[in-house]
Amino acid sequence: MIYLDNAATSFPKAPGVPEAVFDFLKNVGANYGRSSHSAARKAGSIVFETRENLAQFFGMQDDSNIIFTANATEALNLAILGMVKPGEVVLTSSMEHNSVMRPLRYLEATGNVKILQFKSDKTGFPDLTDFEEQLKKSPCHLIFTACSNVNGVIFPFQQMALKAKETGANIILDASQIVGVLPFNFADSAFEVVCFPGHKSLLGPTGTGALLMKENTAIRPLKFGGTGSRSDLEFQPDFRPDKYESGTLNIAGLAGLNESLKFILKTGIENIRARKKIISDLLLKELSGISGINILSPLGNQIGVISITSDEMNISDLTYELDKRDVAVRMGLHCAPAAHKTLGTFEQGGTVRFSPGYFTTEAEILEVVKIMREILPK
Amino acid sequence: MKADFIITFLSSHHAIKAEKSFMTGKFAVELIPTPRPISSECGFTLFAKNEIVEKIKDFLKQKKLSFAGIYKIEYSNGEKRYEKID
Repeated sequence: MIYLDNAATSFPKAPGVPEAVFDFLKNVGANYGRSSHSAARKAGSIVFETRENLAQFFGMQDDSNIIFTANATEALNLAILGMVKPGEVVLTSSMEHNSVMRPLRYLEATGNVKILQFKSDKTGFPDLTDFEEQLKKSPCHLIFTACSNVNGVIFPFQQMALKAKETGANIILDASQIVGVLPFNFADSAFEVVCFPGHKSLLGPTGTGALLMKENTAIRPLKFGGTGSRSDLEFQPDFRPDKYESGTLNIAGLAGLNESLKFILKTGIENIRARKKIISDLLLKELSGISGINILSPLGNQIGVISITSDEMNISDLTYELDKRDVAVRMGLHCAPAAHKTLGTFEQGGTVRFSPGYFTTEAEILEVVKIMREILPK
Repeated sequence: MKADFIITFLSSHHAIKAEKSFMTGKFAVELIPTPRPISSECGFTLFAKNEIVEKIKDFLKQKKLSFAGIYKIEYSNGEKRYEKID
């Protein structure tokens, strides 16, 4: 199989990830934070080390400000539902995933929350003049993506956050597509909260994700329950990370994520970014050479997520033909109707998305392009 | 004066963090199940053998390690008693 669906979840995972998950399930197996036997200590060390490695990755001093979640969606729900209060105004982009839009629409419907959206151009890149105009309306929160999951356009998210910070807005970033590709120092950033998955470009197992928060950031927990700490109290503990991590963690998944973090730290984020750029540039160049293909992704300023449509074949037939030839891509709306409306692809049901990963080879890209030429009518 | 001590923590995360720090700082510490007479705060507690309490306190402060309490262990007639000192 040629796997070009890394924007959904990466495959293959980093070396050592499957083995670490297996080793935990086969040889450790215990819970974390509850019991005090040796196996529980081992489980605790795995969770602790994963958190430490993430802290190193994001330049954070205090790793208790890293909260493990099942995915970026859970992290975003924790941040949005736990920070936005009834009657508040939220500014967001026109390129968001439903993991941002659905909690916001829920709050709009039930909590009298007002949603403002700044515009993007036809490539999805934010209209920075409109962004500043919207900021003049003094939104309480800026909640937005760093990079589109539909067409890979990278927002100038650091610069935008600094602008929003001047207005006093609280800033939450959906970093799902950039973490593991672009260098990012959380400690020095203007963001209150950053949410991301462990299973995309961090190359870890599905069922892993995290939320990073600043020391003074206040979030109401999404889940309440057992933490293994302060078991004498029926009230939720108010210290981190326990306050936000009720219930048994996905320790098997975190064991895998720990391995992938070690791999990324060893490889170097700049090398990963450079490699992904070579592969996505090649894919963009080759696809541009096929007549009848419309590329909806920018050629530069691009994370490596490429959306296309074809004048010759509808997206479901194209995806089906690729799948028959063992090429995995994703078609449709990619859980991001707002982004497809901005790109003008909503009405036709979306695009076909090609998302190579760190391990995708040049030969695989050339093979896919050859297959595309065979599939599409001359 | 040297003695044996127990350091308690709010959560396993803080206990494991402290264990790593103390070991790096060349302290003879061990993570042990929290003695029930002390608390139900967290399953693990740090046991420091034959240490000076001021040294432990200074290290906790210097490394900004979050902890719940420090107890001195008194041994008498084969039993252990825990005296809270911080």
